[in-house]
Amino acid sequence: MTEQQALAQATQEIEDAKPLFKQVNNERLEFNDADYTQAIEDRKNSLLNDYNFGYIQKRQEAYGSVQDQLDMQYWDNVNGTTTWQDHVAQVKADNPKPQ
Amino acid sequence: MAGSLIKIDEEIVTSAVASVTLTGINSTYDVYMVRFSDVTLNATDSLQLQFTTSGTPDTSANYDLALKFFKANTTFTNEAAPNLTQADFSSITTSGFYNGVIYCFNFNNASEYSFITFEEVHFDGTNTEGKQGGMVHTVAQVCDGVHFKLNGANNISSGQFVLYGLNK
Repeated sequence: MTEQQALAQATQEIEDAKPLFKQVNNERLEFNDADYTQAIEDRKNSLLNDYNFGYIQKRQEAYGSVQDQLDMQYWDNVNGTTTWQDHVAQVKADNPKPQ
Repeated sequence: MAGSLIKIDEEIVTSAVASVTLTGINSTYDVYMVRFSDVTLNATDSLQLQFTTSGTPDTSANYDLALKFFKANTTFTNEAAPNLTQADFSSITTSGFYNGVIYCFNFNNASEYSFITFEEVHFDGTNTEGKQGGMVHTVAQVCDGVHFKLNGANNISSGQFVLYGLNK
């Protein structure tokens, strides 16, 4: 995803969501132009961040605990299997690093 | 009275809003506390946090964040990153909700960084999870509040956001 693609998607999402409101000092006010501009910028940055670094969090969650992985390695050693290696390879394949 | 919480600002969301701002942090108290409770969203999204200067959210990429992400159904993870534009409390669905407490330090000190410690728990629609950690805004400037927003173009459907001063 390029910055331009992210900006286009963010702009479309905010346009589709209009009108947006903010609550401050117990008042519910519609976003002004600066708020909308900032919302698009924030969303663009978020999309780029998810695209570039989202795989890290997904891999961390999918790997499982260190204890479980050590258990896999123990049984791989005992049985001559490749369960742990296959598991790690699958997690990486399911959550690829962006090119 | 020593040890009291003094309510400074309260925002109760009953109609959908994309953001909520709590202001009123000044030199009156050394430490401020924010409580947010029963916060629900109109679509799957994640609640995010920024500091405010003169009531306006500081969106610069100057937030350094470190936290533990606890999950009832699986192992915890660590999250740490410098130069972010906000803190992110993780994604929930429309059947989920957030509850949390944030302590704010140094906000009124123009010569030091503002920082927070936080602990929040959320039900993401399937599992219970929580985040505990801290965030530093690496700019020596006065901050006067906190700003809650969402990652996507969605809304906070309901919730209570309250800012207290911790009486000396």
